[in-house]
Amino acid sequence: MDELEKKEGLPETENTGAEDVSEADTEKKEQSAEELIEELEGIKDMFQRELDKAAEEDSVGEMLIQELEDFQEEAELFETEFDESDLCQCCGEQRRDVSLGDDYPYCNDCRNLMKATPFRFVGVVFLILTMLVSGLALGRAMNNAVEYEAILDADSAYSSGYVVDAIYSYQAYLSTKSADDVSMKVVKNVSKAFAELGYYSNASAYIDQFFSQAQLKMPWNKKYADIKSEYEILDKTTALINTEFSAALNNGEFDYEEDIAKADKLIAENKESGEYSESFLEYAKFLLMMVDGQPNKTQLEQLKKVEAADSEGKYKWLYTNYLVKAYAREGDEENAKAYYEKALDFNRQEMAAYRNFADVYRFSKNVSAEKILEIAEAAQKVCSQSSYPEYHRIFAVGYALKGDYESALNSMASYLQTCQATVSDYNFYAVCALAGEDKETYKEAKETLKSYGYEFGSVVNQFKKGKITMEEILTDKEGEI
Amino acid sequence: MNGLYIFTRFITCPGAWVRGFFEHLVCKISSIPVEDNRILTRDEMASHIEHELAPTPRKAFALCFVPAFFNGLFAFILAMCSVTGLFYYEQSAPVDIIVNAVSYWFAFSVFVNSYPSVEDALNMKDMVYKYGTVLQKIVYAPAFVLLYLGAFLEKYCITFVIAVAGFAALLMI
Repeated sequence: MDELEKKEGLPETENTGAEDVSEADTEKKEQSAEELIEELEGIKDMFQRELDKAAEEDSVGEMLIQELEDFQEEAELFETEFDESDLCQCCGEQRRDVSLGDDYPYCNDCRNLMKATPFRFVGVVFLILTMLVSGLALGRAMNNAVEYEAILDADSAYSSGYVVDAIYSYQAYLSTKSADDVSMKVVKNVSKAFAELGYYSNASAYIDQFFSQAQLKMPWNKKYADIKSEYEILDKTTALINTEFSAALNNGEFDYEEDIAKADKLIAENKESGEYSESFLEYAKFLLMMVDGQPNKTQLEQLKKVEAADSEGKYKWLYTNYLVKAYAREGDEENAKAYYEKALDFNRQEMAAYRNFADVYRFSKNVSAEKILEIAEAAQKVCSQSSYPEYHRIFAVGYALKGDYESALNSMASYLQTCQATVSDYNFYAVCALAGEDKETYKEAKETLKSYGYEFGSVVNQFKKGKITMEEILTDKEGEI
Repeated sequence: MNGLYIFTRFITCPGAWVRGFFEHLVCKISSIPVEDNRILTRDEMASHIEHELAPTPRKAFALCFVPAFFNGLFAFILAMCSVTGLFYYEQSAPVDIIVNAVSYWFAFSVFVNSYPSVEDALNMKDMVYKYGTVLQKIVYAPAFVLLYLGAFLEKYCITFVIAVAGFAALLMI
């Protein structure tokens, strides 16, 4: 500072003249150089200071910039870590539990709460209700189990063609029931079964007992309404036949030609009016022929007319067995078998069909006791306690043809005990007794028949006298047995 | 299709609720979080509860099978009793008719709602084929086919159509 003051103050002058001027100039020059150096030194120092200062200011800025950068990074990091999508989708407050997966949407607390979500009350109610209804339905079904089982057995018998057995089971069930508490299936089946066998009055009685008028009008019950109306037609036709041919059919007192003409007239009139059953009228004509003892061929022709009149197949029960019998008597095994099978189609327990078909093997050229016995066995298999065991008679014929008269006699004895016997049956019984040399049985049979007001036919006397053999008796299609 | 699906769920609500209950029960037993326990919702989840996917093959199988099994069992019992009473034996007693008619509706309902959702069925397949043992794969395969097919049919209301046709066919007995 002192030096600067010196430089800035007035110069000190001791000499004058040329020497003095040159000395003065030299001194002045030396002094200026020193001053300049000093001045430069000062400037240098000043620059250094400014430089230091500036350098100092730069480091603070850098620091500030760094701090700012750090802050921004932290802010970005914060924003990333606490994004809304990281929050629980349920509560929206806590972070998602990413330990269960990066996309797992809920926090641990919410997850635990969800695990404990209570059952819906309505769900529990419906579950209990379902269980109750199931229990109730099951209980009622179990309660009816015995009935159901019996009905199921009867249905099974019915569908297998054991119609007689089925009818007896159905009747046993229905006998304990009222219209308010009955299985309508049973009523329907028993009505159908009776109708198929031709017992329209029984079918109609069950329909009347268990069906209301409103029910019968329903389209799905049309079948039963039809059975009822069919019964009414049959009833009317039967009444007409009874009126017109009562004397002829019941007492055998008639003029055949006149009655046949009358029957033809009724049939012709009915074709126009359709009031009566055509099949049944044709059948009445067949009955007249049978009672009059017309040849088998004539009867067969008439039976074919009965069948032709039954276009819907409703009256199979009326003529099928007669056709088997007529063809058997003709010795036509093929046709007899065809109708025999038809008869068994709707009732395997149709004993008359077995009996009539067995006749083929005694009236045709191929007489075969074995075949007759086979048919008897088949009949025995399907015959139940509720049917007439007519197979006994078939056995008797087979054994008699075979020459085993003792077995034949035993079979006929069983037959007479269990079935409705005719004079023809007693004739055969007597012939078997004679053939087996069982005089006591012969006498008993004679007395029994006498007690009913009948006598043996000529065939028995002829056999007794030895005028005819057993084979001749059994193979005579126009004979008494 | 969605509207029809929802409509069929509503008219078969007893079955939908029973199915939902069993699904929820399995979720509870298996510790599967239930997101929404409403059952008769008006969307494609009607008759199903909303839950997380089952994390193991066993749980996935149980989730599909248990509700189907119980609904099937109820359907069988109810159908057997009601159909035999109504259509086979044709019982005429009023009490029998009422009990059988209600049972018939319940049988129909639980049958229509037997199957799992398609998602659950597919999850079952994924679980079994990713993590299951060979035995599990063999044992679960037929169940998966049945359940997946049922789920698929149910999604398009075809189980409803089948039930209508099947139960109507019983009228022909």
